[in-house]
Amino acid sequence: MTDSPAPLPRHGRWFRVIGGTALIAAGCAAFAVSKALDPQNRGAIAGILGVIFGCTYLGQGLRGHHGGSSLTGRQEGRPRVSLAPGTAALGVVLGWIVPGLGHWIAGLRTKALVYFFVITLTFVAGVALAQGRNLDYQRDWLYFLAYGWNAGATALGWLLTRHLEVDHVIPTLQVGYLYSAVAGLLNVVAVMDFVACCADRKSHGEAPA
Amino acid sequence: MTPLLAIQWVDFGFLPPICLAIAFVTAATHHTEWRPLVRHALRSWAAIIGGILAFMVAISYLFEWLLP
Repeated sequence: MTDSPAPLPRHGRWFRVIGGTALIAAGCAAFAVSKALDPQNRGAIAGILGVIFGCTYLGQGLRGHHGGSSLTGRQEGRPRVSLAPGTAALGVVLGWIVPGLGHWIAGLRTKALVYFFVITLTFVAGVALAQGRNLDYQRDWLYFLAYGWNAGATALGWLLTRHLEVDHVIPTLQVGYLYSAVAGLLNVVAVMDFVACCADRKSHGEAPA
Repeated sequence: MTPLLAIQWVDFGFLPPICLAIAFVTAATHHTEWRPLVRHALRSWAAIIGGILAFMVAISYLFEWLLP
């Protein structure tokens, strides 16, 4: 519970500083090139993810320790809630359908609310920017690979907007795609966090729920 | 290319809200209480936006220098 972050060896620090800077540079370049050359702006997600991961690695390198990984549960003070395997699996499925619902049933209400509001608002902002025209799975199947991680909102949005056609120029259409796709990818982080902090049954005894 | 043009070139305006969402979700993986969570998110958001802004300004000056 209180294990402090492991310090990085010297070569590990430099690897993260140089690698993080290179990732930020590559991310900005991918974003700019995609913006300049690709009318559909498909490289922008990769660019943004490159910058985000680059900042994470650069921060770890400059601080000199991991500071914990959200996926391995090593950070200090991470709450551990032990659930029965069936409840944990149910939480993963519920979190996939509604962001934060898995955390809610595990009793982590603050996390659940943050995940729900941030991810849902990002998704809805994307649909609004695209005027409801970014949820056609035949035309936008590539983006559905990202939307699919936020299943409930995507299914509901598709049901409500499936009759809409792109019949006029929408200047913010590509930005709308990007927002909704990032919301889907952020829900992967939320579900992985649930797995890391709520499905840790072996080391923390039996389930309270 | 001037720095301002470079920032317009990548549509910098829509990055801050999406980076704010990313900052809040990643901060929520580390905290369960509101105050540290919000503090962590805003701090990392400022760092990300500041970093991108500084990088873009630097790159645009570099372009101006390399491609007059």
